Amino acid sequence: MSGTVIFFLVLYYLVVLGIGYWAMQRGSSKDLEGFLLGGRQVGPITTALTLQSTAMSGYMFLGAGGLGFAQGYWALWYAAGDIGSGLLNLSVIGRRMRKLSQMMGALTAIEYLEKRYPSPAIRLVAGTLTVFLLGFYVLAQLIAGGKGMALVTGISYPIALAIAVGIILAYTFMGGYLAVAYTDFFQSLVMLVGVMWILIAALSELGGLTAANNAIAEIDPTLLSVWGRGLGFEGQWGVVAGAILIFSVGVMGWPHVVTRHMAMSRPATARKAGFWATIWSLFFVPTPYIVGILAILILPGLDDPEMAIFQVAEQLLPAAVTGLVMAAIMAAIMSTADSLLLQTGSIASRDIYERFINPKASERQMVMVSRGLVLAVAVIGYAVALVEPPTVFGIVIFATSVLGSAFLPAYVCAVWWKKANTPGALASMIVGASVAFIWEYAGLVNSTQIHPMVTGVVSSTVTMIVVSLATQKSSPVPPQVLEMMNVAAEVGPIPERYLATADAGLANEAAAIGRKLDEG
Amino acid sequence: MANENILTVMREQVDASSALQRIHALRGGVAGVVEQKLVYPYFRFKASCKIPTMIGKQDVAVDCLVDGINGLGATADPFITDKLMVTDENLLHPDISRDEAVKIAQRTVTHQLGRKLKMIAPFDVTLEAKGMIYRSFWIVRIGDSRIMIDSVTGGMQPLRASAA
Repeated sequence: MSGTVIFFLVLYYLVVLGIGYWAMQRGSSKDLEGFLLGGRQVGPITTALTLQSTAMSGYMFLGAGGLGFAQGYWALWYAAGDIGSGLLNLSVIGRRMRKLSQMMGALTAIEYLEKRYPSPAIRLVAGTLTVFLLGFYVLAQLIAGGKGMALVTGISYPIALAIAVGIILAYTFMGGYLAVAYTDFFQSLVMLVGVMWILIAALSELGGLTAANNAIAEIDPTLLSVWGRGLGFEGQWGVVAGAILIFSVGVMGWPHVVTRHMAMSRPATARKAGFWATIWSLFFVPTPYIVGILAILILPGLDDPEMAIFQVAEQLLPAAVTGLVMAAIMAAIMSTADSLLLQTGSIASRDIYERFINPKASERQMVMVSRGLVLAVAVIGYAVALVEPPTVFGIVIFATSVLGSAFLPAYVCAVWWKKANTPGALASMIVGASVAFIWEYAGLVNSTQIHPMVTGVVSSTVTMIVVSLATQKSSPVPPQVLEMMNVAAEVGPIPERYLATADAGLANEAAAIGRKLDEG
Repeated sequence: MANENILTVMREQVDASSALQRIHALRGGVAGVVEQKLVYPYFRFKASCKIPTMIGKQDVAVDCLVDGINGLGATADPFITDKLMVTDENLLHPDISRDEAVKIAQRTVTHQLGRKLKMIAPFDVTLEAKGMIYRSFWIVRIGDSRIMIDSVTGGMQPLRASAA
């Protein structure tokens, strides 16, 4: 790695820090206060790009490129589900979940589940599953960060991994940047421009897409098919369905994504942000997969397919651009790891420690618990990533399959099905997680040709329906929950035109005033 | 005769006639009737926080309101207040205690800071109680439906069917 690359990498970080500093100093600390007040100063484009910057993890830069390199155009099944996932999520659970969670006063996704399905068991099971699975997801980011750092700096993987883990921890404990919305926005733009630049450079190097496809056909024509290398997935619709579902509906079961729905600003802003996020995804999501496919020609002797994007960038881009792009990629990985660790720590402290171990815990004690857990995850992650590092792709698919299978029916039915009750949700989480876990762990994908995401989601959904219906008499949904669901759905003799202009921020006041008027 | 209370309220920007005009415009000429004005209670706190940054700790002060009935906390934009005479029949009383509100405010501010700044830190939140603050809502009836209109923002929310 040249000194020029490292110089521009450092320059990038200085610019990002400078943006944060400028944002904070502008008008004293008023900007930061404005940001803390609910992001009202942050418009839909900034909101969208901020979300995308956090959502696009190390998977996109290592897993996606590696899959494209290994399986050719088959990899695009995964991209197909991912492109529209933001809009789909927003449509299915977005507005209603925001309103319902706000009315319930839930701060975390797990707390929301317990309030919708009242039982401590729900919080215990959901919290434990989430901490465990998000830990895996963090592991993927640590490996991605370590590999990237090793390539960028030229130092050995174990030391690079230690540095990456150290930076991520510092980032989480001390705050990496000063004004997250603005720095994430900038990173997101650099990420998009960076991967597009790598794609254009690769296409230019190979004489265009047609010439590249012809050249790939000469190596192995099956790489151009939708069934993968050697037609290994031919006719396996159960696997294809899982590939599409995993990033389209699977993410609805991710607690860290659900939390974003709960924290959305006004519905109008959310709708516009959803539009911009989809436009951004349209350009960004397929690109790493395609660069991975093109890397088959550019880097024929590549040892580690997951390094395809880094290596293509290093080989084709000017040193200055490589530095900037790699810095943006590293920043994205760290930003995602930071968000995941924050979620994990928050769930461990609030949903498990405060709820079950020390109900009178002070905020300082909860911070200690959060930090302790984050430290433990980082240390265990470092050991696993060092001794026997799995692929980033493998970890992300595993964690997403199990998380999605466990939580998808619970979150979707929470807002859409009034008969979804506590036993149904509990059984659905346990069965969905177990089936997906066993399917993945026992390698049943190969023998059954069905993706664990498909079996997991089908089994958890069927369980939710059957158990809820069977236990309606013994465990009815509490009336206050039904009432809040009604308000969230805005059911009643209210003209449609009012619903369009309703201010969701007033839902709690409306519910309280409704009750008071009823009482006379 | 109903008791009268002098309360600190958020400054009203939307009066009864403006509220009706909004409804009138939305319903394409169909008029509503203002049934009453209800005054809604919030506990108000000034939260002083120390945010660790790479250039040292930054002091930030944020307003925090806790819904006196539902017990939900939120950080709030700065707002102007006025004094208003309110009769008992138009006044909603808080259902939660001040001590409960303090805990909710502390939790809300810490959570909000951690989430938005993406960091796990204590933030040294110090709360200063600023008493109760009230917000007025116009309750408008249109046929069989009721809508409440926020006198500060003009935001609307239909009231649930049983309340209508």
